[in-house]
Amino acid sequence: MRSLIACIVAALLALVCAATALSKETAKELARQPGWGRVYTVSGKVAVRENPALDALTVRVLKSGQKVRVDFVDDGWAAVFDPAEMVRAETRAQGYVRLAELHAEASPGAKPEALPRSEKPAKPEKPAKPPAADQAKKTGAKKQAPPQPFGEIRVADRKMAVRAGRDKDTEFKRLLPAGKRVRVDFLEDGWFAVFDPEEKVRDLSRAWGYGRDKFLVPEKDYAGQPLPEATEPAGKEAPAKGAQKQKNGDAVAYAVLSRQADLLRPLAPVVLRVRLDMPAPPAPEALRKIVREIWKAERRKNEDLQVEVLLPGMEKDGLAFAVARFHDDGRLKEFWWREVVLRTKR
Amino acid sequence: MYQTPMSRSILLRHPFFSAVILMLLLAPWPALAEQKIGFVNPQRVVNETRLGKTAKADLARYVAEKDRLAKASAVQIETLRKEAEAPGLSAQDRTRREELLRRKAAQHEQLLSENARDIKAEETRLLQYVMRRAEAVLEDLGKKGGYAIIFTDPAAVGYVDKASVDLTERVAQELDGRGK
Repeated sequence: MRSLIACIVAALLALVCAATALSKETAKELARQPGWGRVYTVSGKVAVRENPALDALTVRVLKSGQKVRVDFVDDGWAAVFDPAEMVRAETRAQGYVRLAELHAEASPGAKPEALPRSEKPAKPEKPAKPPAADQAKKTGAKKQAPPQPFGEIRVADRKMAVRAGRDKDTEFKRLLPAGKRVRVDFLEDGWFAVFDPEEKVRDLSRAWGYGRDKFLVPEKDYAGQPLPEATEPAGKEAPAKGAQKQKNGDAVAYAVLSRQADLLRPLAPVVLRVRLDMPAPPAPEALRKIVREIWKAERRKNEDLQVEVLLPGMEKDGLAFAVARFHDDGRLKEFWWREVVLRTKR
Repeated sequence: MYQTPMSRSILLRHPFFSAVILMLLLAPWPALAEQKIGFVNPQRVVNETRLGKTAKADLARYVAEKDRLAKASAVQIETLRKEAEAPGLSAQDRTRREELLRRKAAQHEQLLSENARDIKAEETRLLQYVMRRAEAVLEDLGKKGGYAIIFTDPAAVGYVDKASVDLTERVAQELDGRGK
């Protein structure tokens, strides 16, 4: 009898241990989930379009049962991402789908109710609620403490790349010049998540990307020349260099080379030539988002603006790598790129 | 001694032949080098080099983009046509829709004409891009090989012995070598 009781107790203990281990795994898994957007399960075939318009090019087709992360909802359309996508940036979207064609599935960070068709786009500046914040809300915490600075301020000790992931082969996000101050946190595998130095919200989705820890030194250890902008308030553009300006369009730096209107043809578009500050050409999908951001930032009132993109080393007046024309509402009307310019040494 | 008419003739001309041979031997070699003529077929440069093939792929993509615009416009016209021909419309409505259709059809025609013009312009731009790089190769080849003239237009000369003077292959190889 005693041995039977001992066996039952042992079995119960084993069950408790297994349950504890399982809940830890689940918690870890949840922590790995990006805390933004919503995960949807596709029912039936759904076309992913390059723009939020029915006549836009279909860039891929989602199959039934496939999961996608969805955000940047606008007028019944939403940007779709890989479900594991950590960075909430529209430039990383695979394309756009009509929300009506998707089927919602609950997920961490997702709202339980269905999104209305007329929902306005979530602004990238607005931080996605981290799971911890949700938990605080559920447990009855009435007031949240104001966000405090997190991580630490470090300085790039050389010109270095900020990338989309903790790997040198991931997508290039932006270039940090030597002396650039940044806020860093989430150190993992020798890579920091890199933020704006004035960032107050400790949320990976607000990071610029990831940078190697060994090139980001504490301020006191930095021996090089500081950047003039380092002492300026955050968000201010770098000083213009000649006729060129350094700007950021959704985490991609670019310089405006020229802006020309054809005086003989008043209906012809104004041509804006920009040079991207990227060592490697971006993929066409990313380039579409980049040109749209540039158009949004550079277009003057009611202007028909054509954006021409050049890469470092290309002749200022030479053949552009990519050209984009837009509808008045910012949707891409025409977009093409020339790989031939990549075939010659720059 | 019996002499054939042919041998007599050679003997008679002997001083002349000697003079010609002597002149050829004494002729300055650089002068002969200046007479080298080459020929390059631009179409083959475009068709057979990586650079040219990439340019053609770029152009095909551009044409597809223009086709997409034209198709979208055609679909809109078709929709407007169906609306204008729908039964049960009042005379006023029908006139308004027909006017809309007429304007859209005119816009469509303009779009097609602009597309054709744009495609031609893009083709020229891409071709120029390739040929400018081919010309740089030609210039080097001409200087190093001692070519006085390299033709690029077969129609400009009456006859070209392509087997002996065709430099197209060399230009293509050099162009590919210079690319990435």
